[in-house]
Amino acid sequence: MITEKRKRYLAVLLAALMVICVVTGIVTTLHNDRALTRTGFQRNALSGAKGTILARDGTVLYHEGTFYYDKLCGDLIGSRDAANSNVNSMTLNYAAELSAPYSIWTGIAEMNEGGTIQTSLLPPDAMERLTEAFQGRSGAVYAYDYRTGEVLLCLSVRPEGNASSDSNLVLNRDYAPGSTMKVLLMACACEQDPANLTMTADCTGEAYRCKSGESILCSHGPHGYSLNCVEALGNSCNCYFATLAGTLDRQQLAESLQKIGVCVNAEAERVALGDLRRLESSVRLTSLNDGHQIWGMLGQGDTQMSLIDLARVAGAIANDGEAADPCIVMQISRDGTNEATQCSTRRLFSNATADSVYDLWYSATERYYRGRIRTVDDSILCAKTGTAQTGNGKHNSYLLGVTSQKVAFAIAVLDSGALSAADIGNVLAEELEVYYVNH
Amino acid sequence: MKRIADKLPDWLLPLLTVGFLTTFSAWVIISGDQPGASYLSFLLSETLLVGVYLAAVLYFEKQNLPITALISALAMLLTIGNGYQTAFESGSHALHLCLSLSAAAAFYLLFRRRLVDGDKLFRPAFAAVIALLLINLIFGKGTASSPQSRLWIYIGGFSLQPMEFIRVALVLLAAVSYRSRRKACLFLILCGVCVLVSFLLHDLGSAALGMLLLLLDSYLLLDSRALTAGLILGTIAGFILMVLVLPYARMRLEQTGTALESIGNNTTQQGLMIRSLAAAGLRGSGLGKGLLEVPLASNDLACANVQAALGLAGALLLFGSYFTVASQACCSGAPTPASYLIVLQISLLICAQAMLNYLGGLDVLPFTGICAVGVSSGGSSLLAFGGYIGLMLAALAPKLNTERRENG
Repeated sequence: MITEKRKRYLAVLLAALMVICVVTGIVTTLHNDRALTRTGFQRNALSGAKGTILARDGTVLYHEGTFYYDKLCGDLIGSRDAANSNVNSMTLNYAAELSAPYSIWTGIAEMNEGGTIQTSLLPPDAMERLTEAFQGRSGAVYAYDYRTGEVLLCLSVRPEGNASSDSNLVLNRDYAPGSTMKVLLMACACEQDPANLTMTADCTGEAYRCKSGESILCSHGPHGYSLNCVEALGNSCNCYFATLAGTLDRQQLAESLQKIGVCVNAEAERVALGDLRRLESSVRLTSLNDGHQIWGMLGQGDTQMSLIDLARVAGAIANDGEAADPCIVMQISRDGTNEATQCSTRRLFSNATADSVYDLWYSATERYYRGRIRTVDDSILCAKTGTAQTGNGKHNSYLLGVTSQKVAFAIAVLDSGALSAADIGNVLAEELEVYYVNH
Repeated sequence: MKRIADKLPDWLLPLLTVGFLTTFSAWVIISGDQPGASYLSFLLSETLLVGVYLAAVLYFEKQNLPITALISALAMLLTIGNGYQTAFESGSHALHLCLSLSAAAAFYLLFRRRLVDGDKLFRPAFAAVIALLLINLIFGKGTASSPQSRLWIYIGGFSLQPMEFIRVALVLLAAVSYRSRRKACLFLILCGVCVLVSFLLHDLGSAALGMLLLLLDSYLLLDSRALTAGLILGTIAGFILMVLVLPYARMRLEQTGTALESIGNNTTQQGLMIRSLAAAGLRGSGLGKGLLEVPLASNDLACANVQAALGLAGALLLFGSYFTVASQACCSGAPTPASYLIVLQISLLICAQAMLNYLGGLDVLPFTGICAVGVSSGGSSLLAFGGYIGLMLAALAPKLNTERRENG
């Protein structure tokens, strides 16, 4: 029945409906805005975030929604992926710094200039020359100043036509590091007992036989004589390093690896280290009697290393056992203020260990790599190459080293064929030399 | 309030409205830089709107303030909708607008005398609802984005949503069922069937609106308190049961309120909408100036989009217009119970649709795809809106005629 009373009720109901709608809408908007501001809602490409990101020399890498060198940097600066699914992007992680303070009244519509982030990355033309050195192959180059943590290169190289993903090959994948792992093994062995590195081992035709009965073959041998550590490192003797690994205490070795940041007997996750968020390194280490795990200590098998971790180990060896965490943001300028950033330094090895390993590594490089790795004014002080088989006769090539500019680097060339990571190392040494001379 | 209103000159509200329509149109043209925009269509349709508005105000007696306010609010809604749909999307909305205004005129002329003695309309209206339901059930098809729903029928190059027209017919049917308890029961059963069919066609929004009509008409049409209470409780319980039983409805419910959690990966309409609002703040980013990829007229979230572009003022203007349509229609004093039923149902539907659209866009309510009448994209919705306007004015026509006679 339609009565005046019912009419009044219904009029109130309608009015209430509209008021509830508007109030809920405004409250929800405010709530969402606050929540999104806290989480850096600007994201990156999709949102056209404000702000500018510069390379070390001031070259613009990103400006208000446009990525200028995304093919070189992958998703380090920002994702081209419309779904914004990755978490490395600087435009994502520094959304708050890139944007001016958020106003609930104006949103981001009428804000003035966003912030500017000065990164430590080398100029893009250096990256482009390094990319060309890959001769159409995929790979990655990571280089950083091990004293300050400044990341100079986080270069992801993908051939033209294979750019379906912008996932940075430094940050988002690990590598079976091949013989570059032997440097790390030396450091861990020395940490347990410095006398371990005075060991000599025979490589006289017999393969190293593990306690479980499996054999470790020496890819360059048999060398036919007894080798010391420098000779073994220079010749990359599997038998020597398998023997060395076999003598170590598993528990202490696991602890040393964990201290470096390697994930032992657990699944690797994406974990932040300094300014970078990388896929952790991982090893399987339940028994050093197992041939497969001994192979792992030689950089094969289940061992997967991040180039960032490898370079950090190299840096710590060259820096008395300490290495800075990677730091890509040098300065943030916003609202007329400049804020310099600083990364923390961690001790990975004892001073004595670092000195001993460095001396041995330096000697091996001097003795065995001179001529193989062209050093511009001897700028590469220590280097170690590595190769890992990937099946079907293909292999990846690696190079780990430190330079006279206090830079530690790790290079990976995927399916390298005739190209060696050492070739890329030479170009890198040249670029570093040019940059440091000019600046 | 009435005393203040009486002191205002008759020409003030029409003048302000025409001023708003003109300023808004100029602003759209100046600020718009959208590719594919159809500013010529927009300009022509806006000129048409202003002309129709002035004609309507003159026709419905300019001294009748509630009616003038009602028509002014309708004109504002259509102007905002036209601005979004035509200037930022395509020119097809201008055609829909012309059809909608024609439908409004046709409905008004068709029903202004017949509603006084509406008994004769029961059978045609009942048959129309049944026919539309059958057409939807038999020929209903989904879209590429929602293949499981069967809301659309395709005729040649055109597509229609029969549910929009079923609601118009139900409004009329409810009004002409008032005098007979048998007819009222038949109407309520048919309304229940419509809700059920809406669920089966995966149209949660239409089911919700059908339920609202069922609740309202149960309250107003039945004279037995026990029966009314039983029917209302049964309707609510049935609706909840269907939502829980039907997987798609349950999924819609479960997904509500989650857009913000995965905002980084979220490319859904709601995710984009929330981000647009955050980018725009309460002041709005301005027409066609969304910093983010503001979902423009190509989707259903026009209400929240108006807030993203025009800010808090835009949202208040929009909902103020909806509220004016509802309140002025109800307050203008429908002369008969049937007229009152028509005006009230349409007011409720318009407000509920705007609410479902706006809060659905903000992820507060389940996203149902229901259009905000007059503003959202959608030819069927705009045509149905024309029907609502015509019916509402026809329902108020006897009152206007009486006033005209008294004044004369």
